[in-house]
Amino acid sequence: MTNIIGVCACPAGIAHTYMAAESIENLAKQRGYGVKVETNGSAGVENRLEEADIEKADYVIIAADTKVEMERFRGKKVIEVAVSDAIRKGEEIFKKIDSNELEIY
Amino acid sequence: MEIIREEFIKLDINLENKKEVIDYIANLLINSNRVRDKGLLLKDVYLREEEASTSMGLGIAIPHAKSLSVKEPTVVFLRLNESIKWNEDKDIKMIFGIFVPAENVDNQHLKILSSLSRKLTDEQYREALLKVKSIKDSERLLQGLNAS
Repeated sequence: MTNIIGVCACPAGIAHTYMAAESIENLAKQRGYGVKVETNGSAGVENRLEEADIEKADYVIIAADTKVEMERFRGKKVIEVAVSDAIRKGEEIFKKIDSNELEIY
Repeated sequence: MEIIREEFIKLDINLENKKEVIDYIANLLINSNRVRDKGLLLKDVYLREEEASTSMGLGIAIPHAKSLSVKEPTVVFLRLNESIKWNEDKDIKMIFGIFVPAENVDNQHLKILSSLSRKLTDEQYREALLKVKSIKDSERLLQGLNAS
């Protein structure tokens, strides 16, 4: 099974972080992919990605307008977008994943 | 503490643009004693709007702020008669204002607000909000907000 992980973060961490996470989760589920999305919001880090999650992940989506700790994704296929893109253009992100267009971080 | 109350839900009102909407919400919050300083609230809301648009192409704008002026976590739901422009989007008919105090916020409240934001990505939920006919029914749709 294809496994997707993601990190969502925005400055206030009140609304868009969670909308982006929901959008990524739904698009992944529609495709039958495994998915886990970490949110860095006002309630702190939720659904934190563990080493095992990162290890088994095929693709990493970073949807953030703030700095995300990236070194942990070294060697993974990563796409980095603005948090709004995950909400507005989620399909485009997944098209790139479906056709294996991501670059290795 | 109720995050949303009937007085924070306004259906089918006439407001012309983003500025009027934000001003309307600020007055609502001042009059219901959820905010202590309108000027500071407006400053914080506009600061957030300048960082990036709070409209995300879903027909909903979500002006929000974490502000020292906010006393209690509060959600305001406005539904407009006519769609307005909100930055690059032209079809904004629903507005969710989300306001959180700058300090000492109950994590439970933040979780409730994040679950609302998640729900707003659901097209069926948005349809229901567009169609709902009364304040009471809107409150029912949003009742998860007062779960704690």
